[in-house]
Amino acid sequence: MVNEVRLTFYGRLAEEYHQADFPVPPEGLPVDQLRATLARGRPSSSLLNPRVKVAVGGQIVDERFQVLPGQQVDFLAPVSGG
Amino acid sequence: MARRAILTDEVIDASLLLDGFVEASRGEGAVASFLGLARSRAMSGGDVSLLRLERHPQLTQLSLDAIVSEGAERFQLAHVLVKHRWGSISPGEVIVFVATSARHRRDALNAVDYLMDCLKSEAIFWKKEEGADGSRWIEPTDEDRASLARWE
Repeated sequence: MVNEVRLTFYGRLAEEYHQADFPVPPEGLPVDQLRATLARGRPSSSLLNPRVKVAVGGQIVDERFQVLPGQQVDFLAPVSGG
Repeated sequence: MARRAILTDEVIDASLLLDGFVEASRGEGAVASFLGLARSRAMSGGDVSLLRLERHPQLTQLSLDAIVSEGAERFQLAHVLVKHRWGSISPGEVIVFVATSARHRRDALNAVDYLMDCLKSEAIFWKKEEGADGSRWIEPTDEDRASLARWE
């Protein structure tokens, strides 16, 4: 089994990031490390904005949450509202 | 009490919704409603040909449900309905329909105002206006934030 998470980027983040999958170790990775790894080499990345929230399996999680292989991880740009 | 938050990618028929809501609210003292329409001109002055509203498959509905519940409790509403569209919306089309009913008009009117302030700042959507000048992402304004702060 390939150890990956599925990624989706919402709002303006989707213009900057296009990855659909990302490898993680079998024991998983905390959200803050995943965020930092994706933004590596891009110091002005929108992903580093603390207002960008992360959802796993349809629920918003905090930066310490351990993301496991096979999970769906969504990066949410600051909302526009309705 | 009926509390409904409906998310749709289809055209909203506001007249039909309001007729049904008034019928369901028979016996209450007041019904109040609001329509949000897609603009044909951006705040910057340029023409808008299309508004795109992106939603999250689970979180957007949850955010609407939470806003409707808070409004219903805060203003002791008899009934409340929010129907919000997502997807591609043309100028003049309805983006959001809000209706409330209560024993007294002040609660019904204030609840619509409150629900719209919450929807403008907290509903989980991402909006992009498209026009001849290009496209731009929409963010809550200082006015939106100040409007929501009124209710704290």
